[in-house]
Amino acid sequence: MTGVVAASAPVITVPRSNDQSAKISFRNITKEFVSQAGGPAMKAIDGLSLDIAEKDFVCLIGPSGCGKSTLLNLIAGFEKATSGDVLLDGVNITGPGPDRGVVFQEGALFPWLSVLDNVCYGPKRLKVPRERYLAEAHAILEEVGLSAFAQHLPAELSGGMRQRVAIARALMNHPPVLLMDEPFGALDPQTRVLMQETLLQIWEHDNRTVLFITHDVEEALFLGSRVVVMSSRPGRVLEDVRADLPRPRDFSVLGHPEFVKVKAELFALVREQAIAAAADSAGSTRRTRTK
Amino acid sequence: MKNLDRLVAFGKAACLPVAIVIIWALVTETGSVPAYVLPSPRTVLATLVDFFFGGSEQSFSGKFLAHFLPSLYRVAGGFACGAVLGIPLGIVLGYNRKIGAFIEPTIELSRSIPGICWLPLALIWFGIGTGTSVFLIALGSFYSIFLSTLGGVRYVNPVLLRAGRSLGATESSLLYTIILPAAFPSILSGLRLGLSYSWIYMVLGEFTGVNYGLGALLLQSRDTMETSLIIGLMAVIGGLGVISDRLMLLFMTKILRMDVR
Repeated sequence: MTGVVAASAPVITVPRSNDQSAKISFRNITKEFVSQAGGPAMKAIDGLSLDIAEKDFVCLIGPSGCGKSTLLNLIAGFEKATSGDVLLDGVNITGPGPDRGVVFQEGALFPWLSVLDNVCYGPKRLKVPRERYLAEAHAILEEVGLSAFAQHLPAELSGGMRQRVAIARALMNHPPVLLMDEPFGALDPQTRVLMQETLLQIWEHDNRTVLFITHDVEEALFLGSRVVVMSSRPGRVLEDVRADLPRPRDFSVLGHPEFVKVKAELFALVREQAIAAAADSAGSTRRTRTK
Repeated sequence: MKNLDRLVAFGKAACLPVAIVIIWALVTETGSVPAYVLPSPRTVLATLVDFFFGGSEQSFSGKFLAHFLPSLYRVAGGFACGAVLGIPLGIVLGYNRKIGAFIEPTIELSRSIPGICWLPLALIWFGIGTGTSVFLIALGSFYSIFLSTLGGVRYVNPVLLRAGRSLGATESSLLYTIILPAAFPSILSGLRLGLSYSWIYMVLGEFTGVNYGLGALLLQSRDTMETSLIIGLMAVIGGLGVISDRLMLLFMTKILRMDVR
C-alpha cells in the first residue's frame, strides 16, 4: 500500500517523519464528533501524526469526509482535538490567531465591506498604522490584479476575484503559516488554473509554510512540494510524497511525463479510498435499515 | 428601458385599485347604496381635503395636524421604547446563550398573550390616554424588534466569525466589526415590522377615549356617523405607515454606509 509512488518515481522522496524542527506538528491526533441527535460518536481522525517543515508547501488530498478539513481546523484553532497534540513551533494551539492566515472554500469575505476594507480588516485589528497598511493593501491588490476593484463590494465580483481578495486579506497580516481549505474548489477550470499560478507566484517569492487542502490530485501535485494522501474515514496518512518538480512552475508542468505518471498513481490511490468510503457508508446505511 | 419596465410594473399594480375605485364610484354615485353606509370616492376626497386644509364648519375641518401630532408622538415614543429595549436585549441574548437560557423562555411565553389583552391592565396602570398608548405601542413593537435582533446576532455565518478570529479580532471587536454589521439586515427588518405594529397599537391605544389623535378621531367619527371621514382616516393611517417605513429604510441605509466605512 505504501511506497507505491516513492519506489517508482525518482523525483519523489519520502520525507523524514518526527522532524524536531517542524513548523506544524500533529502528534497522534484523534478527533471524534459527538452527534447532536444522540447517535453514535463519529471518528473523523484516528491516531494521525504529521510534521510539516517550515516553508514547505504541503497539499493534503483524500476522499471527501476523510477529515482533511478537520485537520486544517485543528491547526487553525477552530476546533480542538479529542486527544493528541497540535503544535505550532512546538507550542500547543489554543485558538485562532493572526499568525495563521486562513483562506476558506467560499472566501468568507465580509459582504458589507469593500474589497479594500476587507483586505485592511486584519491590520486594523492588529493596530497597524493606517498609512502603512493602506500602502500595503494597495500593493497586494495590485499583485492579485484587483487594484481597479478596491472600492467594489464582494457581491460585485466574480468567484475567482473574490478568492483573490480572500488570499490578499489572509496575507495582509504576514502570517508565517497559510492554511487553505479547498480555496479553488468552487471555481471553473480556467479560473482555477490562473488562481493556482497566482498563488505559486506569491508563494515562490516569500516561501511561507502552506497547508493546502484539496480533493484534486492534479492541483495538489501542481502546487505542492509535498503531497499527503489521507485514507477514507477515520483519516490516517496513507501516502506521503515529495513533489520536487522544477520551480518556478507554470501550467506547462502539467504535461511533464513524471507529473503525468505520479498523478495517475495518486489518482488511483485516492479513487481506491473514495470507493472504500462509499462502500462503508452504503454498508452502514444498510445496517441501520435492517435494524 | 428600465424606466419603461418600472412604468409597466406600476401600470399592472394600479389595475386592481383603479377597478375598485371605479366600481365604488358606480355603486355610490348611482345612489344604490346609502351615503352613511358607503360614501362616494368624491365625498371621501372632499372630506379629506377639508380635514387637511379646512374650509367648512365641521368640527374636524383643518384639524389634521392637531390629530396627527399627538399620534406621531405616541408612535415615536412607544416605538423608541420598544427599540431601546429590544435591540440591546436581542444583542445580549443572541450573543450569549447562557444568559439567554434564563430570559428567553419567559419572553417567548409572554409573547403568546395577544397585545390587545394588555389593554385593560394598561388602563389601570397608566390611565386613559398617552401612557396607555405608549405602553401598548412599546409592547407591540418590542417583540418583533427583539426577536429579529436576536436571530440576526445568533445566526451570523460562523465562517465569518472564524475569518475574523484568524485575522486577529478579539471577542469584543468581533461584536462590533462582524456580528452587528452581519445582523444589521435582520435588525432593520425587525424595526420595520415593529414600526408597522406601532401604528396598529397607536389606534388601539387611542380607542380608549382620548380627545386628540388619528385613532381617537376614527372612533369619534363612528359616533357622529361621519363615514367619509372614517374611510379617509383609514387611508391616512395606512399612508403614514408606508411613509414612515420608507423614511426609516432611507435613514437606516444611510447609517449602514456610515457604519461600514
